[in-house]
Amino acid sequence: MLTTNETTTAAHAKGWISASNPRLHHLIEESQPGFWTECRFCLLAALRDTAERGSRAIERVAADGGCEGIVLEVWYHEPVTVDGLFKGIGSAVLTLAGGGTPNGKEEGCRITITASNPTQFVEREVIYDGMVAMRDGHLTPEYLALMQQSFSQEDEARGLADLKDMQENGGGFQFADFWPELKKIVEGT
Amino acid sequence: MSETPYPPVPYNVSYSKWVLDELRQTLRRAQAGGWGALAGSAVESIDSRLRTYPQFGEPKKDLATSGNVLWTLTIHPFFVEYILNEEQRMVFVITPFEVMRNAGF
Repeated sequence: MLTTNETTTAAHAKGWISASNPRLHHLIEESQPGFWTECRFCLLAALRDTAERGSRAIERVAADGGCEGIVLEVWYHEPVTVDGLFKGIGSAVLTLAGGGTPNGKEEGCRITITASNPTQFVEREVIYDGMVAMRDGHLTPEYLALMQQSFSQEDEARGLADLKDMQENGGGFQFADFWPELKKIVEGT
Repeated sequence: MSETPYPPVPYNVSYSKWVLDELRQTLRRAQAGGWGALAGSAVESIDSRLRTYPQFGEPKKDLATSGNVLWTLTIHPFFVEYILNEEQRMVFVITPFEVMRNAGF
């Protein structure tokens, strides 16, 4: 029976996921042409991609199963706070990323997965830093308010003025223009 | 491998000077704290997602200007707000990346 209802603390998350959404397939194909070509592996590929590109949280991932759903297992290094972002199968994107918590305030993450069938999550919660950041694939209002609290009305007005300029005058910067410089910063070179 | 009959057409993603200036400072902090690789990887992922699949985030509100919708996106350790204009197939990042709480920098 393709059902799981598992709550995990910290180190190990396991659940059924669906990887049959073609848009995600395109996403992976564009970022890594020919890397994983079968839909059922798209989500696994995304996870591995995340792990290989620097996430300190993900130790390894494994998956098995058919096209409609795969059993996903993710092991995390400890101690970590894992920000697992489960998007609904409607939009069918799953990403798991994480990072340590230097202050040790919050160690571990609870991911609750209840799936009645392999293509639909019924209930999911992602705890980040001690609060429910995501429920059923959507950021919670509380978490959203927290992240937006630093934006003032002046900031919003400034952003909208920039938007007007960018749309009317073609202002703004493309990633390729500034990434070489920023890449040197993150690499410390 | 099966070929995609209609390959995806990337969205045009544009960042404001304000965003870029703030991001530069944020990444300096991340690098100084030992989180440079994580932050850099996240920035690359965010841009990639915005170019290929900006609907990855969540729509929050329609703006008064025609066709512009405010979306939010979270890829650890960043929270990002952006404007998606489907008609123009454009994405505008107009407010600085927000660092998630206790991300370390």
